[in-house]
Amino acid sequence: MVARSLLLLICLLALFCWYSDWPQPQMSSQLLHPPSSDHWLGTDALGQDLLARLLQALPGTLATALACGLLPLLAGLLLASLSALAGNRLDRILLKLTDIFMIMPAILPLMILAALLEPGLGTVIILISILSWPDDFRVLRAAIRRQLFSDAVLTARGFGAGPAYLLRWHVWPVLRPLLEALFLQNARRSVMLSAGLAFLGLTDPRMANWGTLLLDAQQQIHHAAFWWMLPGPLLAMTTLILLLNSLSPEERKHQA
Amino acid sequence: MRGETAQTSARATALRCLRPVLDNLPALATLLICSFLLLHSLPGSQADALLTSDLGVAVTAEDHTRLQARLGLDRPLWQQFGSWLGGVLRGDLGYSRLYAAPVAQVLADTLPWTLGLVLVALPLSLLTGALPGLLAGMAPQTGGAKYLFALVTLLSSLPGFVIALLLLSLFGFTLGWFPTGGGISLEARLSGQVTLADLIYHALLPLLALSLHGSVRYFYLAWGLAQQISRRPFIRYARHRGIRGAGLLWRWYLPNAMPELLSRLSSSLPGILGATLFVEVVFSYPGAGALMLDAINNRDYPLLQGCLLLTGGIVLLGNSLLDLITTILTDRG
Repeated sequence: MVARSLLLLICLLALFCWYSDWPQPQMSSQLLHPPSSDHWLGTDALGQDLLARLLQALPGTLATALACGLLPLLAGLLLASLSALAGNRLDRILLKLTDIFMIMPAILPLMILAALLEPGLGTVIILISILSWPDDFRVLRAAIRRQLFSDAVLTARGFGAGPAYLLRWHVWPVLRPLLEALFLQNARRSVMLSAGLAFLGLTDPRMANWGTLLLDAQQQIHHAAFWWMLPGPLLAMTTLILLLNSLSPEERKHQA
Repeated sequence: MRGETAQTSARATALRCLRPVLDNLPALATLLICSFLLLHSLPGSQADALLTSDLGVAVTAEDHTRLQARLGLDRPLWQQFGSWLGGVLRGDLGYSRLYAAPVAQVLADTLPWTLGLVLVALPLSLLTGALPGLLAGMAPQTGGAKYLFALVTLLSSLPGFVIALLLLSLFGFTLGWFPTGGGISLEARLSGQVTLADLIYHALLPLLALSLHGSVRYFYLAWGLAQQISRRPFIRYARHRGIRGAGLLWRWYLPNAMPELLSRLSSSLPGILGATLFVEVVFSYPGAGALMLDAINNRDYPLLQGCLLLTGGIVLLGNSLLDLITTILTDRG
């Protein structure tokens, strides 16, 4: 309950930041200043306030989590439903395709595509979604297959129910807890992946991201500033991921 | 008759062993095609790159066409793919402008570093994840187990590169116990005499970061497995006989959890390799990850293509090998 309200609060804050365009970190002559009453988290090498940069990245991060949670899930659900109903050939092709996706470390194609495209927020979302639907597809395919042999479905079939009706009333509703868990898992993964890309410096430099803040911190590793540049993005990311984690249903929590 | 049956069963076994290898062939084909298309779809052709010079020589359209013909760029795409594939099979991956050396040679220099990290980190992460997981899962209600579980949950919320960054700043910079980057020390690089101790000393922090990152999934898996195993009668019997602690873990829990744990090894290879790329970048380790980022930042596409082929190849090869081992181990005739 606490996690839920905390997450809601963060979302409201992000909405406010996005709507009002509020934290616009300004460059100043106060380079690498430690935390003070003016700059709560200190300043970076360009004299920008770190708290402002942290808040500036919040809406984008939440948007990534939301979109990358939903898009692969929808694609996976659609394809899994199709392949469960439409029969063998499509099913085999899709399975083979997901095999190939699962063998590759997701970061590899992501790095290369990112290098070519210098992606902004939208492109990052699309890239991550393309690379993470196979996971969802596999899990959902297995669940749908199981469900198609349940008594409810068999009975409804006996009364002459068509595939669309079966999916709508007897398969999808049962999958709901699973869908929620997958959504949260996708969201967690996408936050880490997009931060990873930004950390390697492969995203559009104008896109605010906590990974960029971590990269900036790493570049000051010889300087005492490292110790006030690191905690902000680190804690923000960990908190968000732990909050998302705590919302998952108990039994599917740790299968990421 | 008997001989014939034995022969067929031998053939069946061979087929069963070959299956995992064959299963990876479509992925290999995709990898090759994607790497080729990557280089091909980039803006600007090789002819442009060769003809562009600072001297301002007037280039006619005729020169351009002639060069394209010489480089074979006017042929259909599939023919170009064929000749490129032939080159790859002969070990010719092109020329890296950045390192002024053939790509194959640059890759051969970095391969041992990455491969070493991955090969050591894979079993290490199994060990550091599974044993605490089993131990905690044997008695999930105790304070220690709950504490451990919370700690691992915290660890699971950190991306691999953040773990690496924390380890580097703490042990490398603040405490100064370990080197802050590189694969060997400067003296070793200058004198050319590499000692094993020096290698291990430099690899320790990257390995630790990788193992911590990789161990999380094994911890949760082992935790769940231990609770399943606890419900089996032979465990209750063993407990009644007064077997506790390490003996129970080693002789009763571990053998029963082992098959499931080992079967996850091959599926965790992509994850470990992906994390390795990040960890190498953080520790400036001379492996494929750092090389790839170099190639990307300097737009050295043949090198990038080579890196992609190399890392993809490692995963495919490792996957086939692990599958093969699992098949042989589980083959009960």
